[in-house]
Amino acid sequence: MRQIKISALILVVALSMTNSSTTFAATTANPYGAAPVDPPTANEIILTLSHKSVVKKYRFDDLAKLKSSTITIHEPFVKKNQTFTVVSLKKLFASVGIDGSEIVQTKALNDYIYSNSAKSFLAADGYLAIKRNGQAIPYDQGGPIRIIFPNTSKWSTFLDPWNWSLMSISVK
Amino acid sequence: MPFWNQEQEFDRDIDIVQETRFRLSWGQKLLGALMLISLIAFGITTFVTSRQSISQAQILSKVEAPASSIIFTQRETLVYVARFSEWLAGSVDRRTVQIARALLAQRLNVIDADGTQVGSRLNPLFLASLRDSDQLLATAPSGILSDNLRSQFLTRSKPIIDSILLNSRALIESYQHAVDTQVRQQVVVRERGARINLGLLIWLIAINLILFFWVGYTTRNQYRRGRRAIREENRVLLQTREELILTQESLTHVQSLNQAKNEFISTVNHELRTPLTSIIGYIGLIRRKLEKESPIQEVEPLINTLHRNALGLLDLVEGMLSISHLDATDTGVNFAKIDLALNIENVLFVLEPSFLERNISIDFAASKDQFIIDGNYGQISQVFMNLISNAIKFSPPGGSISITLVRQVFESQIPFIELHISDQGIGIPSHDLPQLFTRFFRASNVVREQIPGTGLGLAIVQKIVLLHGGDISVTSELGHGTDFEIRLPEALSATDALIASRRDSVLQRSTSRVEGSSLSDITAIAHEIGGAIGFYTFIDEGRRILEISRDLAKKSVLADSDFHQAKNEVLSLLQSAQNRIENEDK
Repeated sequence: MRQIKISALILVVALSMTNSSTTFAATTANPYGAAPVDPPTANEIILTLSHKSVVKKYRFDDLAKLKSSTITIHEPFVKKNQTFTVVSLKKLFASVGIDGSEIVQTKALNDYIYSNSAKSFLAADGYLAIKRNGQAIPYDQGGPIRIIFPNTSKWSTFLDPWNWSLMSISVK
Repeated sequence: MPFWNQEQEFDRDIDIVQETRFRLSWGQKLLGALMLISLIAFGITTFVTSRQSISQAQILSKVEAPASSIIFTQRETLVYVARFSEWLAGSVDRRTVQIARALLAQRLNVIDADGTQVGSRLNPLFLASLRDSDQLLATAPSGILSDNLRSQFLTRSKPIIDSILLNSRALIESYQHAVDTQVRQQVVVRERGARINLGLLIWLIAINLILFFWVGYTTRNQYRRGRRAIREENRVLLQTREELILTQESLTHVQSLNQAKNEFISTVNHELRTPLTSIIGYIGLIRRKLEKESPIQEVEPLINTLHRNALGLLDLVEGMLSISHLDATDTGVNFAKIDLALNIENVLFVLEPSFLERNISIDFAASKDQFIIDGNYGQISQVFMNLISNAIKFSPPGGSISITLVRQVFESQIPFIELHISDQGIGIPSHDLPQLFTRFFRASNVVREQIPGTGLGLAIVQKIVLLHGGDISVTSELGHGTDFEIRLPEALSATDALIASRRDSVLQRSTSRVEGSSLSDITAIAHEIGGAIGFYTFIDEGRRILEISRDLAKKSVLADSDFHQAKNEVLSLLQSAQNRIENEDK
């Protein structure tokens, strides 16, 4: 009898855990999503940062090793609060010597391009997001890396610079 | 008819106030209430419609965001199809196609979050085509498509790509339609709100205009009525002023006539008295001569009549002279201390032949030096002379006359002396009593019985008593007698006179100070007054001042506490004065 009770308890806990994970999947999964994207190779470059003759190429692990922080913002596309692990654009710009007056061009995997002065990006306190809620950002949700701005930024509701699936940052 | 009627004036004042006061009719009040309700409704509908509707900029914003999403969705679809085609051509690997597909999925997901709800209307055929492409990709090997598989996947892919492109167009049109519908709804709501507000605004303006003209019209009429009432009031005031001037002139004229009359009477009487005295003297001489020598029986009655009439005429002249003189006399002229008992005894001595002749007894007993007044000796003598001689004249032979003197003393008042002269004569009809002191008035029974007299004696008596600060009254019963009561203030000692003068001045000064003060320091005033009251023991004056202070406190902004403090201080002083008086009495 006692074994039956323990079994029933385990079953209830298991069912509740199953329901929880299902709910999590429902809230995070893209209902229009496709089959999983093939994993990248170990040496796949996901960000190219270039300024004049200086070109820096980053794999995901390279980016993960940079000094990062976490910020929580109200994500303007899905209109929810989300926490991102970020690297500041200021630091990335400085690493290749991008000056404030130069025009910076960000480009996505789907060839979406946004251009503006470096000082505008910096004044807007832009960040490169490399994780969301501690996990890698899926492609069908703007990953693997994207540009975001905090709630206090002047570009928090100006959505053009919010470049999804970022591929490169260069100077025109 | 009196030209001044205070009650009518008061009523007219109320009429004027009512005429000139601004009033709204019930209709105007109703219209005002409607205007107020409309204004509130206007505010509410403006608020509600502003919450429901959107501005032009908001509409553009709402169009812009979905339009951008539509463009990007179309772009991502084409990119996906392009990558898919490139994969089929062996140009890119499968992962590149999968990434393009993921970005399309991201776009489709995000467009739902824009609030346009287009995702719920997503073309199921389009989504099915995408799923077909996903399955196709899943069956393919990773990396670049090999040549031997290319034709196979190309054949399978062609209908899928065609379906994606075809349904993509339908999807875009669906998006566009959804956005258009939403914007149209917003515009309709906005226009409806604008129409309601415009209607309410027109309604409000109309009500305001009606109310404005109505109130203006009413106000103009009220103003005109008020102006007419004021004009009428001015006319009445001018008329009243003219009447007052006329009355003043008449009064001045009457006064001058009265003065002329008095002067004339005085002159004439003086001119009459001189020859009358001479005539009476010569008549007396003739009578004495006739009595000694050879009296002629026929002449004696004529001489007696002549003598009696001459004496009557002299009485009349003397009376008129007296009253004329009294009219021009002020109080207090030639006043001195008079012992009333002594004065009455002197009068009785003069009249003794008269009452002895008629066997009338006089009942009078009063101690000297007990009844002292301040007065004019001659005038007071005339009072007793007139009253006692009247009593003798109207008493039957053998009758009696009672004369009493009593000293009356009341608390906090100057003592006075009460004098009664009572006879048992013919009495006075009750209907004649009110006019008894009128000049030249003679009681009806006296006239009927042809008792001689001038009708001036009692008028002179009353005038003299009033000049001495006293009063006179009479009670009489026809056929049983008459009683005259005279009350004269007793002469004060030097100390009493000083206190009396101080009493008057204290009351006068205290009253004027309290009445004229700003009442901010009534406590200090009351203390000063209370000190004077306590020192002089003016209990009644203190109470009077308290009453005045109480009235002023009610009418003014004086705090109750201030009045009570003043009242308590004064009452305390009054109480101590009262105690001192009682102790002295013991």
